[in-house]
Amino acid sequence: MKTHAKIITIIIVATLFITCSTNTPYATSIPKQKFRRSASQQVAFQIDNLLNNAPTQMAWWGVKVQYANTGKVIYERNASKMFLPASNVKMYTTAAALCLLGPEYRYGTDFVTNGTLDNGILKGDLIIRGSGDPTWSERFYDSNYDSVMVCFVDSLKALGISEINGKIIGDDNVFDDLHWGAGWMWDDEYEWHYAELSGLSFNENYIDYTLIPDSSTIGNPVIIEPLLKTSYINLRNDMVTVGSKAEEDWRYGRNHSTNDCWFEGDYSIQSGVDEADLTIHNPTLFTAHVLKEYLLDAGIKVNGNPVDADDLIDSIDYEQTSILFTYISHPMSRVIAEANQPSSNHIAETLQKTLGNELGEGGTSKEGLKIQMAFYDSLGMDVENLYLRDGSGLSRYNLVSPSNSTSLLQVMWDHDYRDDFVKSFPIAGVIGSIDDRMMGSNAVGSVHAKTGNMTNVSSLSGYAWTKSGEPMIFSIMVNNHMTGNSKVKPLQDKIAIILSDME
Amino acid sequence: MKISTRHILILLVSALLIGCMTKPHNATPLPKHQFMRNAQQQVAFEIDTLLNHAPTDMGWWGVKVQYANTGEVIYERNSDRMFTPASNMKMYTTAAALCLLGPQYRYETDFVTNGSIDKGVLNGDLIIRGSGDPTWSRRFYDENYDSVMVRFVDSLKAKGITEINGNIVGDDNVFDDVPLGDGWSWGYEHHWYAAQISGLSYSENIIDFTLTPDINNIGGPVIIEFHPQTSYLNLRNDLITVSHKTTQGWRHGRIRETNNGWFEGEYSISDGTQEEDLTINNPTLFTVFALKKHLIDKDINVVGEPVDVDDLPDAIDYEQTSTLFTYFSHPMSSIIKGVNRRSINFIAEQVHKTLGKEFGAKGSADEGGKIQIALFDSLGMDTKNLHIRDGSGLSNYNLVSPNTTTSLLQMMWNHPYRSYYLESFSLTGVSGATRKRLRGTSAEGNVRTKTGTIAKVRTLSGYTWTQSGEPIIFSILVNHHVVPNSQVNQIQDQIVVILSDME
Repeated sequence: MKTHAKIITIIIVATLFITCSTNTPYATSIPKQKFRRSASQQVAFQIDNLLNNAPTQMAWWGVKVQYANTGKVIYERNASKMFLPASNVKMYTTAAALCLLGPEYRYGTDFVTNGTLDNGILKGDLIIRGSGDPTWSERFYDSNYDSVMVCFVDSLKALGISEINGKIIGDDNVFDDLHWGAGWMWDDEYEWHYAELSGLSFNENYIDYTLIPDSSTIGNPVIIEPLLKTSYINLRNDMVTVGSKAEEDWRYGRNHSTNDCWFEGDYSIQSGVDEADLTIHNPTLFTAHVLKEYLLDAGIKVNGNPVDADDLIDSIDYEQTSILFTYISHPMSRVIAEANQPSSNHIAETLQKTLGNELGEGGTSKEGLKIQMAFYDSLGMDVENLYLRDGSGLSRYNLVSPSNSTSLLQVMWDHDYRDDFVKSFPIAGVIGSIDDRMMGSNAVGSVHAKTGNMTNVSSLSGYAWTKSGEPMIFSIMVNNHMTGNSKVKPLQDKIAIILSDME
Repeated sequence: MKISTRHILILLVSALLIGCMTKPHNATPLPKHQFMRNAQQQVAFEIDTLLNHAPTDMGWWGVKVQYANTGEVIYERNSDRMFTPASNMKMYTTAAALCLLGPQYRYETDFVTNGSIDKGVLNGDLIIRGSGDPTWSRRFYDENYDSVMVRFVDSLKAKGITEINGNIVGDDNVFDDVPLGDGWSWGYEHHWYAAQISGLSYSENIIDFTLTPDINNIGGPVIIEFHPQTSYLNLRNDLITVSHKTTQGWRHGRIRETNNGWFEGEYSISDGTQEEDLTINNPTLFTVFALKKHLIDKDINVVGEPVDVDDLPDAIDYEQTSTLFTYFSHPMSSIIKGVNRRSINFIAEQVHKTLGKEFGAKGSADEGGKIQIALFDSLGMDTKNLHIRDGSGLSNYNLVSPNTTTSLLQMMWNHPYRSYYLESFSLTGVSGATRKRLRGTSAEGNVRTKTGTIAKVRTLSGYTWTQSGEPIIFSILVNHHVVPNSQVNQIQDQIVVILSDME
């Protein structure tokens, strides 16, 4: 629309010149360089051209591009309009966590007891005093599910413990008990991106499964192997092997507010081995339960049951406990990378509650958000028109504009922790959620951008470098497209490539 | 943006005219009437002026206005863009129900038994074979919660039944078992507008409460009355009467997946008597539970228990049952009034699944959506740009444009059932959701609309008539506004008045 008007304007201006200039006594020829576009005008022209000729007219597209070193804007389209950002929200959460907690911040989780150690027997409960640490997952331990649990067991063994004459208690009170964000969808509950939040979590509170069709006999059950062996979940397997792909029709899920998981339907041999994952219910109990299983496996006797601290009759008096050991997490610089690169909602939400716990009045999303907004405000961002409601972007109550996002990316570019922030982003063609995008272009290995994708929402924002190494900031937000995200992403990629192709 | 470009154009054209007009030899003065706007242009000008001066820049505004009799477009702004429609979705659902099921369609629910009547004793189960009927509520029975249940009991009494030697079984299998819509949020599950959907439902699957502070017992519990009276919901009442408003306030809710409701906090005498409500879990069981109570109240002895058909070991073989009586609902023409006027999600979702049941493969929201799309397609609407994900509009996944909405309203204007459709809408200043809006203006009693509200969404579409009685179709869709809803309402209302004021 805009460009059409612009073209008409140009035609009219041209007409004006042509019609009138012949009659003007001192008509001068128009200097040729005026019609030459500068590099930035050329980029703006290319982006406009791309978007005007793409099937984007029914969706809402917002774009802003600026030079990182000068802040000079070279392209805007609907830059001040509000969009659902999806996981672009993680840029905001991780920026605040990095700057306020520092790149060297580490979670410290105390393993304590209310009893005493006597001849290798712990006479009392083993209590895990959750710190909100989101790193007890394979993601942080070379894809190894066991590492962190084995480490806990080894630490207890090193203290000479061979028997625990008490319960394994999980304490999640560092955070509130709201295990989802505001406005999250009830029907996504079982999917990994929706994992419950807790002050005590293990493996981001989900379990991966490997599905193996039984190629020997059609009609036999499909083999379903949880990658984490635990009796915490009840698995119903009503999935059978069928021959052709056309017959394939299978489903899986977890019943609400339970740990009853199920797979059912017909699974084709032709699908080969596949993966699926399901979230668990009550992460606190899950963590304590799994620890007990690892202790037993390692030959440590445990006489009590795993217990959620909320189910204890009396609250724990930590004045009366002693610390057995403290487990220290990876540093924040690593944590934000694991939040941004694969776009982990669990880590992002946990960071938000951690901000509330460390710097606000409690480990809640609300308190975390207050701290975040104060932070953006202190950096001179326009927080009046910034509507953040969760830490991950899964909430449909978040609203931000491309201008909000480029201004965040700009303040982080100018910040001392720039390198840690930029490095936490996915890299085109290399790592994270854009590791298969922009392939074969100048953007590969150069564009550092955070994705955001959910139903009718697709965004891509971050940093690009021109051929001469000039850093650029961009934010592309798309809402309400009818085409599906797969049709939008290539257009976003083309914009990032245009920037990477700049001289 | 649009207007400023236009202004520039006008300036340029003027410059062109002024600059060049003096030169031509046979210059003729421009006819004066070319500068006078006709009624239609005047309206477009007024709406443009309104929207350009209103604080609409950060939100998304889509408007389309056309003559109902000719379809001639009077005004459009972003009319081909996609918007989340909120409850404007109900215009689609009710149009489809009216066209496909007809205004005289009635739900028929069979009350059957697998036993026989012997001397007033029903030796067997009483089975309610749910039809999806959404009308068993006070809304359809003069605000009386019990009426429909009393009718059932009377019908059984008329058969001479004095005792039921069996269970009261509720069968909801006419619909699937998905209780909520696609993408609804867990956070509002306890609110009336997210009542569960079921093939067997009573009281729109909510319980209303009257809260009365106990003036004679400050510090004591607030008196909470149930409507309908039932012990199906376990209510924890920790709501305390206090003499003055306190900062603590009060809250209420229901624990997910249970019928454990709660009220807690401090309730001030100054708040007087108030109404609140909670949804219930498992509508099917709720219905048979309520029927058992009414049977016992009317001295019909029930030996068995209320049972959800899903909990029976064997499926019911309806070949082996006999019908005691069949209950007929109000006609579809009344039901769509129930949907549209007060925007009742529950009824809309029931009707939506009914479309799937009657015309599709099954009583699911997916099938209902497919049937709707097929209908609209056959009527020549552009269904490529229509995403129907639920029947009520509570889902954020629905997408429509002002174009699709005005084309729906146009199609219904031309339809033989036009009057049923229009009457189901709110009448501005008089009835339904807009009963308090625009009183004392030309719009009062003259505009038929459907409203729509969810977070960051505000819509208003329908019909109005000019001063000379010319019918006009309009659709105003607003998404992602950052100004308060009341301000959006005001601007939408101003557009409606501009149309109603037309000569």
